[in-house]
Amino acid sequence: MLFNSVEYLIFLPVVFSIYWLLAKRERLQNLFLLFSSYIFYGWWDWRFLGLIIFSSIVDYVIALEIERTDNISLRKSLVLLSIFTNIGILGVFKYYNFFIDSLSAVIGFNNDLTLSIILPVGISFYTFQTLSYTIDVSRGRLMAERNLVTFFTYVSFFPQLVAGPIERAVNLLPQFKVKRKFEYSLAVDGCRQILWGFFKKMVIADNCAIFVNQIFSGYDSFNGSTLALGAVLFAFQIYGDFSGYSDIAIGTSKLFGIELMKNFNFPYFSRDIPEFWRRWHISLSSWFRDYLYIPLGGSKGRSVFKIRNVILIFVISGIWHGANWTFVFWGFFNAIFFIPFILLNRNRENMDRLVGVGDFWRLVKDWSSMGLTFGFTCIAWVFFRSSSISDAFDYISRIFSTSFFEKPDIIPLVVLILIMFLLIVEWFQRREEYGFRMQFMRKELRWLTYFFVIMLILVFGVFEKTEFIYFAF
Amino acid sequence: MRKFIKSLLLFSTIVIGGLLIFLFLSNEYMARKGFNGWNSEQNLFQINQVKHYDLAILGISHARNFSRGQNHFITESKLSRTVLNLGIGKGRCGLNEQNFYLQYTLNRGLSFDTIIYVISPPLMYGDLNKASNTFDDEAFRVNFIYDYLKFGGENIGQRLSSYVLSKFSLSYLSSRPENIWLDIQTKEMEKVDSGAVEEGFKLAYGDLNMSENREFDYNKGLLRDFVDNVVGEDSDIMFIVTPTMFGEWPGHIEFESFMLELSESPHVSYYDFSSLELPASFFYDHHHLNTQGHKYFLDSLLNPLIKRR
Repeated sequence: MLFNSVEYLIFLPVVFSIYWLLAKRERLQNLFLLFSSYIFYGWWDWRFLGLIIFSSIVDYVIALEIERTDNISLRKSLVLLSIFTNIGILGVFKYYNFFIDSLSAVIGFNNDLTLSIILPVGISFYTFQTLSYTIDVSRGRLMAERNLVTFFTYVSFFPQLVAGPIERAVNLLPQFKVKRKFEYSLAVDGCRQILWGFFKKMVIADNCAIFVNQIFSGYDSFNGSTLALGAVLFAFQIYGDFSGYSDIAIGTSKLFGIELMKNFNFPYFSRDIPEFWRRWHISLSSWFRDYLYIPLGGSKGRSVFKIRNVILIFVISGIWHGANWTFVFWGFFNAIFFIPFILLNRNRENMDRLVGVGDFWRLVKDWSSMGLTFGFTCIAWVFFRSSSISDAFDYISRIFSTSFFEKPDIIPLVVLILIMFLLIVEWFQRREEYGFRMQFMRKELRWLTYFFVIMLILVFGVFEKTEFIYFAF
Repeated sequence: MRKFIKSLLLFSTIVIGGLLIFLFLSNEYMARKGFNGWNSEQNLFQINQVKHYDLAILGISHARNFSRGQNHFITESKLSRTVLNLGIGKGRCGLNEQNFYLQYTLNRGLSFDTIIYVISPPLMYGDLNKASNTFDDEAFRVNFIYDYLKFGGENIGQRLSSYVLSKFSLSYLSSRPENIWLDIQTKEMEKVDSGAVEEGFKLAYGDLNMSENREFDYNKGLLRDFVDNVVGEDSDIMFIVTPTMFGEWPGHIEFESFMLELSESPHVSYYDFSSLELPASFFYDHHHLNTQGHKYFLDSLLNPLIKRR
């Protein structure tokens, strides 16, 4: 089920009402939440529910076994079993065909070993979530969950099931174990965040997508400035899409009295690439940091190891996003941008100071750093969006041509105004948890603002349609 | 929880009220623009202006073509009949919604002597009944929604939500009445481009499989129901297939045999002009007549048939 669908519009109030009717019995509440989550997921394709259940059972049992034994080698074996199972599921469904295709391209055999399999929605998210649980239990950070329903609800909690945030068991599991009390302010905040999420998804991302698809599919016929614009629009498409979805997920969770982790912290206000990666898809970046980067040695040790670790993390992060060499290259490019900061030990600058605060020269420095960082990010996004690496290089080389100084072939004025609106609102809310908290306003004015955003969604939003191509020939 | 529900209800009421006010005001604004059947692709603004028409025209783009680019006035003057064109072009409408349009106008108390149903074969084979943007150009009418809910149809939720949401879209609000498709007055084809025709057939039909064509069977049922209902309303129905440059459409044999069977009913007639050889200069694409071709079609083919009735 998609968040921006009529089905969800009915699903959410029904689940919300029944959930709070069961407020006095948290076990029943969890069971109902689990049932609802499976409906939510099964709405897309019920057959893949088996995969979630399988992944949940494996980690439920393994975590209990890990806790039961003091034998270190057995514990390690059990963790490895969990890793192999989860990565195995991911490997078969997401990477098998990519692996076979790549191998056949290198070795040159006939690649009729590829399978026609559908990629199950959210598989990359829930496998990482269950994996982190088992690793945390093995590290002693968390007690293994004995209640099957509680654990299964943690794995399949519908707001974050298909696109994150990838929640840590340490944060999420305990919330399912306590009695939940309805909090007015949390629920209102949730509604507000959902509204902002829909704005980012339906107005920003979906409108940008129209032009991005047009520009990227026929990039060889546009001038450099249009291609640069295409890259910028894609940066906002992916931000609106991904962070919008996260906002809806976090907001929905708040309606159920559950608080999820922050996933995006105004990433385009970053002053350098390390800061960008602290602000972009935080749940995934921190997952890789905690379970891969730090175990590999992190930023400690000789330079060669530091470089290896950074490249490895970014390349794996790239391939996590999709089974294509373009994603690998996207990751690699980000690593290249990141490495100088690690080597110069400047990756922790801009950790504490709020962007855009200070004297004039500080502001000039902040704004120019933001612009530069955004530019680098956009170049990397070209790899993420292009259908092949050669296309991406060709696209970038066409940007850096004399036609960059020409007037763009396409000027999506309305979309650019909407992006400006997004940036202005988020800039003034950059201290907040998300871009639309509006705590400084009086209630009446806030309500007026909500209505305005609803109107923006209705007027400019892109809604699902079944249209037929007019057969004029 | 009570406070939340109360706030939510109050806010929802304000929002819905605000949206209704917006719809009402935008409706007034759009009504003042002077939309009509001959200067737009929508139908609702023209309904209720006159209670009786000599002719109602139904169908997809080939029907709409009777009004596009000044053709509406040519049609009325050549046939000496008042015309209400209910056709919906641009691949947005199937048989089901055409039936609904007629039903809706009849519910509003309109009457017609004759219904010309421009029955394009792609209408019978495609799954246009599922298009969700069918009503997107139409004015906002509560009774239209009410009637459609009663009528039913495929994809009803998506179609109605698309209809309501389109009233907030910039493309709808900024639309203006204009003599659309003016180029059909001047555009002329030179010869048949068989490659383009083949591509066009693919678009209109997909992979046509006559032995298992559910759409065809389903649409046959819809057309039978339509005939039964309209004959009940004491109107004549003329099914016509307009001329094309390439001759017959795919699936013609099955289509024709069904239409002949249908035309055995009293007050129903069927005329197929698809194979009629006309000069290429009479067409603006391979299956739509330009104004010159339309004039010829009215004078030489349709008018004698109508006069004969």
